[in-house]
Amino acid sequence: MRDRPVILAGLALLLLLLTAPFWLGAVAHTGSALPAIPRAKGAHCVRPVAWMRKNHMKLLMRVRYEAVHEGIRNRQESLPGCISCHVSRLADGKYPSVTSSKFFCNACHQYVGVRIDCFSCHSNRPGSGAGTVAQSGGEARLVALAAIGNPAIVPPRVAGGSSTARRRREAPWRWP
Amino acid sequence: MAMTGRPAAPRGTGHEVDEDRRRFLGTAALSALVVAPGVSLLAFAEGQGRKQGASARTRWGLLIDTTKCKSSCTACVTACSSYNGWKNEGRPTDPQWIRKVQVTDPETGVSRSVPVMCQHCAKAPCVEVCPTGASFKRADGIVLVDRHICIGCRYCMMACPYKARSFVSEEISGQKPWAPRGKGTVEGCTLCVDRIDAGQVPACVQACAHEGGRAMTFGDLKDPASEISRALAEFPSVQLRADLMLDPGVQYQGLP
Ligand code: SF4
Ligand code: SF4
Repeated sequence: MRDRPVILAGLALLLLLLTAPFWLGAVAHTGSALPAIPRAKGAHCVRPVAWMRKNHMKLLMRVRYEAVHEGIRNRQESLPGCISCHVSRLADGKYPSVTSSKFFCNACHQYVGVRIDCFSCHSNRPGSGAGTVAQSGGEARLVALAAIGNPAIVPPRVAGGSSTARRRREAPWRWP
Repeated sequence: MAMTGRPAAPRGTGHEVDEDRRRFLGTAALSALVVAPGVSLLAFAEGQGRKQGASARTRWGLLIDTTKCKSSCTACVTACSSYNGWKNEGRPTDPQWIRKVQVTDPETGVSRSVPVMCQHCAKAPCVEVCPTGASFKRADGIVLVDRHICIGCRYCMMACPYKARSFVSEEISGQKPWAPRGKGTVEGCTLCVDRIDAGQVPACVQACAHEGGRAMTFGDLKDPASEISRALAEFPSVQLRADLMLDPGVQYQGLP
């Protein structure tokens, strides 16, 4: 039984080695910088911030489906809406590159190693929201069009009360 | 499994979140009232107010009077290109959401310049062949590509008899916020769906009315009182390749 201290020391060392990833991680964590999240322009987000941190992708999936397939567009609750609030010019007057960590989405996504490809198609700069006419006078020109006898558009009619409420009831998924 | 042509709907959250949201909305509305009544309430109403979506009671269509369309005029093509942010530099693979085609009757020599874009077929072969459900027809008849789902197989390009679609084969940047487009997906005329949802006419129609020959009429084919329906009832019109029986939403008058 003279070996007892040696065996115990060996076991302790083994235990330490086995749990090393945990300890190293804990040490590394206290030392590493948290992502620096660029400030948004608006007063508040379209949902509570804590909810958004966990669920923004669900909201994006829903508004994407509604806008593309059902034609339900909400200027604030849309990817361009997020971008126009969350992407601002840097001190040098330029917008952050879509690959830099100063770009709002990247601040967290790069930190956690998530790669998104939204911006290979979507604009990464704030602009006027969907449906606005940047190049031409917008509403004023539509009025002019009506005046020269081109059709003004009557919004599609939906029978009976709130179609949104009906869609909500029938929706196969829950609404965030 | 039945092919519905619709992608799986995204999953959301449970009841507790609804409660959460309701509480948040209540607080937000209250604070908006307190802080700046007029302005905030307006902004809030805009943010939360859901617009009604595409409805099957409407079918959007275009009528093009080719007698008013000059072959020298490209106002519609230029307007589409600048509004939607695509460029055609003459290469065979370049996008062409809308193009001018010169058609001539060999017998009489009568020639017309015709703008051709996606014809928004009621029985769209592009939708039929799409293996992913990315090509789809909205309730109001607008045929679109959901680029989130498109795998770039280009079946729809082969199926379309009007050569209305093109494939994005290079990385692009500087897209318009209202017209996302990118490498590896197929695209075509959307009838400026974002403008229609905002109660405006397509960019080509607007440009034609102002800088062109006022050859285009846009409107609801299902509304007998709309200008397009009245014009269709008054003068004979044709659908391109009507023999294919795809029932396009775009119709032409004055073709040779
Ligand atoms: S014109 Fe071509 S792309 Fe447009 S709906 Fe018809 S088949 Fe599809
Ligand atoms: S290219 Fe895209 S839209 Fe066209 S058939 Fe293939 S998946 Fe469908």
